[in-house]
Amino acid sequence: MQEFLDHALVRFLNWLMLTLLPSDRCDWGIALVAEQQQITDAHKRLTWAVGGMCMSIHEWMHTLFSDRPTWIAALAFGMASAFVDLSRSTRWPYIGLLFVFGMILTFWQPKWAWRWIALLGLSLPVIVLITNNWVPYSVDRFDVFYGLVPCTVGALSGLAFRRASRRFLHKPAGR
Amino acid sequence: MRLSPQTVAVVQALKGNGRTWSYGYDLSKVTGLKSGTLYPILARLYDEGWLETKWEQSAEPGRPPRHLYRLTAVGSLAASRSLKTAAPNIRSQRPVYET
Repeated sequence: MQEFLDHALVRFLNWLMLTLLPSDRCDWGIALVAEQQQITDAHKRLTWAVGGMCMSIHEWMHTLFSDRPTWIAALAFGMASAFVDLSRSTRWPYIGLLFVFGMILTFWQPKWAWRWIALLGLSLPVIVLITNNWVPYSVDRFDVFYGLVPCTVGALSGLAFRRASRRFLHKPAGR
Repeated sequence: MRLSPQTVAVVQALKGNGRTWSYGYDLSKVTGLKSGTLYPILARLYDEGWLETKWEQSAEPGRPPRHLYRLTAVGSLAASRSLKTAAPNIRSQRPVYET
């Protein structure tokens, strides 16, 4: 029974590791799992699988916090947009800014674009929470998250624009 | 490339094997590093062009192909240069499992 549970746990950890690993690191995960077959001791095999999970988390965090210039730009854009929203009576400038910034950031760095959406869209809620300035959102506090919508639309537009521009640039001559 | 003591251990183990291919599990035993430390290091060395890899079909049926590693010529040269200034070998600080 214990052996069965160990085996099931190892299989689960392997599956989780391969799911979490960024796509460009999948081969390393498969290699790690293949080496596991050489280990006969159940405890050592489990330790090896846990190590695989550590690798996945390490690689995931590494990818998440890569692209430092884009992170800084997204933070700055998010703060600027939030400031605009809190200082204006209308929401359209904020919506427009988020759309444009979302598009620029995703066009610039399309990998894991949800990071830029989250940074841009959640800057306003964070600032409102820190300053405790709920006045513009006193009717419905969840309205503070509405910025995530224009960000997402902007990011999708940025991706489409990037794809279209690449297709245009790589179009063979004479066609 | 910044060489941590763990990276130094991996590079030295690979360098010790010369042009012979090494398995991940064997490298783990030689260096005493856990899989979660060893594989990110191997991946970084590969990214830097220090390491070449290949897949080998397992002789035993039903087992997946194994990944093999060895230093490239560039990696070997860079490793020699870096190891002179890098941290001391951690093999003396970590247990070495018997093969």
